[in-house]
Amino acid sequence: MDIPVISLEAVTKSFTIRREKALKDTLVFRKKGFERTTTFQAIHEFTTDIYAGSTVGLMGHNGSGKSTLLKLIGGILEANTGTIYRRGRLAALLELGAGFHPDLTGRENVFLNAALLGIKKSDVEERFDDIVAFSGVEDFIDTPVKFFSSGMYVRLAFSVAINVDPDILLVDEVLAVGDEPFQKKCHQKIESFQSEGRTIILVSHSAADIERLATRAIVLDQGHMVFDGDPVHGIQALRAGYRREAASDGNAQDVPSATVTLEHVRAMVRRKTKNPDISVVVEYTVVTPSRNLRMEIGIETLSGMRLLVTDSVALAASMPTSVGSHKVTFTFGSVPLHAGVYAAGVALYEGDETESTTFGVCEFEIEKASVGQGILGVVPTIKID
Amino acid sequence: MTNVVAKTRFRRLRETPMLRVGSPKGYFAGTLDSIKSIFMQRQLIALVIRRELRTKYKGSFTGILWSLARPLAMIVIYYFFVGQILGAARSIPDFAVYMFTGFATWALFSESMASATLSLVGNAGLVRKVSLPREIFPISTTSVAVVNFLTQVGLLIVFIVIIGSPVNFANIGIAIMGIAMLVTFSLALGLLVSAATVFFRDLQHLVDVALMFLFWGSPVLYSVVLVKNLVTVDWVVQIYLANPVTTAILSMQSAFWGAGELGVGNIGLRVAITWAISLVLLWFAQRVFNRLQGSFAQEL
Repeated sequence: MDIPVISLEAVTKSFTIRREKALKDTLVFRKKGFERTTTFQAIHEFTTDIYAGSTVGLMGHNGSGKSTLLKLIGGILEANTGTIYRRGRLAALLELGAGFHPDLTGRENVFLNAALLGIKKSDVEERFDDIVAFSGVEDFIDTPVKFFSSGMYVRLAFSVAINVDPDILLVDEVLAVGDEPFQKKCHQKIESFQSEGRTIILVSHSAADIERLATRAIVLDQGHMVFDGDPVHGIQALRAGYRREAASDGNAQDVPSATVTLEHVRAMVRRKTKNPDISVVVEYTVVTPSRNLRMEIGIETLSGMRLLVTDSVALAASMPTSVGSHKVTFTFGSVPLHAGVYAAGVALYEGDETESTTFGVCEFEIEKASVGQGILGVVPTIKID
Repeated sequence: MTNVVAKTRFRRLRETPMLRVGSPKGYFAGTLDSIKSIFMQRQLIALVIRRELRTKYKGSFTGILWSLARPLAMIVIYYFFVGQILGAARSIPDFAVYMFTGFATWALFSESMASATLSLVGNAGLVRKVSLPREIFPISTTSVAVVNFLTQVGLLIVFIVIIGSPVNFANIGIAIMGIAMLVTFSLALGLLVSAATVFFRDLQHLVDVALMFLFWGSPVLYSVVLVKNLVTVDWVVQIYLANPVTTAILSMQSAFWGAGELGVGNIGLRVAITWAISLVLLWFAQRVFNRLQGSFAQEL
């Protein structure tokens, strides 16, 4: 029973960027005939349905159109062509405390901000204690918010927004507020929202958040949908996009004067009895004889956490610099990693250069029955006395 | 993960119709939808008005009394310097009442225009981040001006009682209608100007200058009789009188200033016609506002 709650049909949004903001300029420069506006396409022909109870993670690099899409769904921006349909109550957490007035007390701001989010006064009165309790600023609720610390400010704003009982919740990069206990509370709240069948659309640069919370990932690139599917593969698609970009920036293989090219980076995971054996095979070609080469290798989780970074110097190995192809194998042995996808990156440095001459990345997956969450794939034994 | 709460939600959602996102389209159906969505937000409008009123004078213990300080100072200055020293009071009996009546009415218009101009730009944070009928911002600034106007009328009545100036009770209805007309007119212009300021920020300076001209173009410090003495061509006088602000001021003066002759007849009819035109203008302004509001978030 998939009930669509949001339906986008060929939605296109472009921005006209005007160079001037004044009537005077428009009148004075009227006849000069130079280009006064530029058009920027933020969303291209976007069509999708979002179903009740799902949590959709919107990903993409800066400027790919994520926030614009969220604002279109929220009705804050209007599409140029195409239509958006939706049903149910919607709450948008695009910016916390947008409606807070510094001179009003916390209590007054709660009512004002709740009204801005479309909640009736009687409902706010009913939930007021919950809101204040969640924010943890009980002692300061009758103080003007200008005396709040920035943490208290966002916590109160978040509490108002999260207590509105929406069917659809739009979240734009606001999960990372407050201290650690408060963030934990936020995540728990999101999880309870999910179990209550609410639909959540969240924009986040944190792959960890997406991986943990989303049930579906949509990756945007320059306003196009480039991926739609499960979060783990969505994160991979996003990273593949980053790499393509980095490669086309021209600082890697494309440089014609490059003295070495990296042919191949391949990670191998051999399943043994208990822990998988990980090794990374690197093939590179030296085109012109080089001075000395240094190879750096790193292993990261998909959310970007470094598990290990080391290089050939630290390993007391000298990389062959003679013209021709060379093959290097790093063997990590059995590493107790948790099931999931990891990335291995290799970079070659020439001489004492700090910029790598060439680099390559590959991903590998650990498929192993492990318990719980985290990075370590060990199953602890438990003994009860 | 689906539990009972989720199931009831899904059932309710399935029965809810899908609605198109965005501001209502079409001329007549759109107007109805807009009115409905604004009416739905009446609690919010009340809160925004209260915010404006409370924050304006918060931090000063005399509070709202300060909002009377400026008009009182103006009255003293105009009464003494313009009335007595420059001699404007010689041709107008009970000049202080005449002037105060006109000035309060004028202030209602000028204050709502000046604050409506900046209402969207000043609330940019909300306009960009929260989905609302954006009309509430000019509506609330105009409402604040009305509240200030009412306090001044209270002051005026106290003043009239103290000096024992005559009042035409028969014309109170016309005065109320005149103010309703002026509020309609100010709101219509406020909607247009607030939306235009989003695109052209320097419009506020133009509004300032225009307000200055309009002030001297309204019978606040002089009477219409003086204008008629100077200008003998009737249609020029009619154009002068067609100004809605002038019409509203005359309607107020016809009620609260009974010490002399206004020199203009049929004020009730003038107010009624101007009000009808203002209502059409308000409808037109709302349609224009609605057309433009899709671009507010990106232009601010």
